[in-house]
Amino acid sequence: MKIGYFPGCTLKTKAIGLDDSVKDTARALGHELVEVPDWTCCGATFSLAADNVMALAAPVRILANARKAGDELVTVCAGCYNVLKRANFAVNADPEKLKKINDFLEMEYDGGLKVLHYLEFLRDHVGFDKISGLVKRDLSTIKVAPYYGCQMLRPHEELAFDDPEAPMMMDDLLEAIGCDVIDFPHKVECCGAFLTVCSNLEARKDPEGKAGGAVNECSYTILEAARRRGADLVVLTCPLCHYNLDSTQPAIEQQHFGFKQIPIVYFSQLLAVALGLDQEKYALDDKHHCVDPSGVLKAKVSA
Amino acid sequence: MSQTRVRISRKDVRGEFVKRVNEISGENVLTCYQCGRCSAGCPLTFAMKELPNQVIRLVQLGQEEEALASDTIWVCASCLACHARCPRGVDLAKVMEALRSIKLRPGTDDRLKLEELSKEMLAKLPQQALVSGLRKLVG
Repeated sequence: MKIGYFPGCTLKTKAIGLDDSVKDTARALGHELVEVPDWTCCGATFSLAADNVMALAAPVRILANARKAGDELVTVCAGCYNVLKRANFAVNADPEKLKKINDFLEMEYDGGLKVLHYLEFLRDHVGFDKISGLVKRDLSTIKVAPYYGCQMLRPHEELAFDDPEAPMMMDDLLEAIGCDVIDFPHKVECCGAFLTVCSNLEARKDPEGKAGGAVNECSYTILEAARRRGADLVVLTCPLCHYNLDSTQPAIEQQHFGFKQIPIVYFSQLLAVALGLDQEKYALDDKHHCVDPSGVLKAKVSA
Repeated sequence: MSQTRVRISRKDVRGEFVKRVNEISGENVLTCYQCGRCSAGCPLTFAMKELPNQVIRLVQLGQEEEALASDTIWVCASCLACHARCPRGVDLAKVMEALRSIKLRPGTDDRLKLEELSKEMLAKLPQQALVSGLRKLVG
């Protein structure tokens, strides 16, 4: 089956391993993800100002182009999922807004597209049971901590992805592919998100240096909670969470005595490994990570 | 916060500032009854001088200058944990965005300038961080 796919800007650069592993695992499971024609950045963050209609133009243009090809659109970056699904919700809730944007874009979007996260696609169009039956490599000795973050969970009224306080969808998939999934109390806690751009401005903007160091502290809280439960890997879906949780670890190690580094990977990379795809292809190396995941995978994955 | 002396008048409490924040955010800040669940669950309070519910209180009381001067509006990462737990259904992240918008929209008070980001940072940051950071911090 062919289905529309929106990768988003980060997946073509920093998160190339996410893009490649999503497309290849879909193919291995019998589906082809076809990129939306002429796509642009979705805006990366959904504008929370009710009077900002302009910010809806980019995501609605993407939705309109995807609608021409079908009823559903798959995306995997948690940021893109949040923006596209909220924009879709906003124009469906307010026909006047939809008309205004359609007039501006000179397009005819009817609001009828369904935005799916790749996890939802795997659950509803493939089935976790079926995936479980196709597993080729044994991951049972890898302890994984699924981390959801904020963007794909909240606001629940609009996204309706999973329980906003106790999500299980990624846990279920990782269990289906044979990982040893651990629960930890910070799987829905924020990593600090875009505040990461302030991290080298802290001294001038904030005399106490707190806002700039916020991402390190948030990341430390999350990683330490996962480590205490014995996790070998933290698994996620968002390139921004990936950057924050991965790149801050050398600094965290300096700041917090006893902290031990823990590699961060995307769920789809683990899925690719489990399905027996060529592990070398999905950026599971020190070039794409501050904390190299290849050691854990080499030690714990058996053919 | 405990040392802040606030002079309240009816004009401030039912004034233009509350109306403007409500209009931009699409929320009604006066529905908040100050239970503090937002602040209890906020993952970033360690970096705040005023807690999220205290900023809401400043807005409720029409204290424009104090609310807009609070660093809390720039520390909020819009993670919506507060909104998920608010018993009154107030979306605090929208209120924070409205306060940031009031500061940013004149275009003279950008919180982040691209030229201040080092080349190293620009090479390292994912696009998603740059785009969302600029949208949140630049007018």
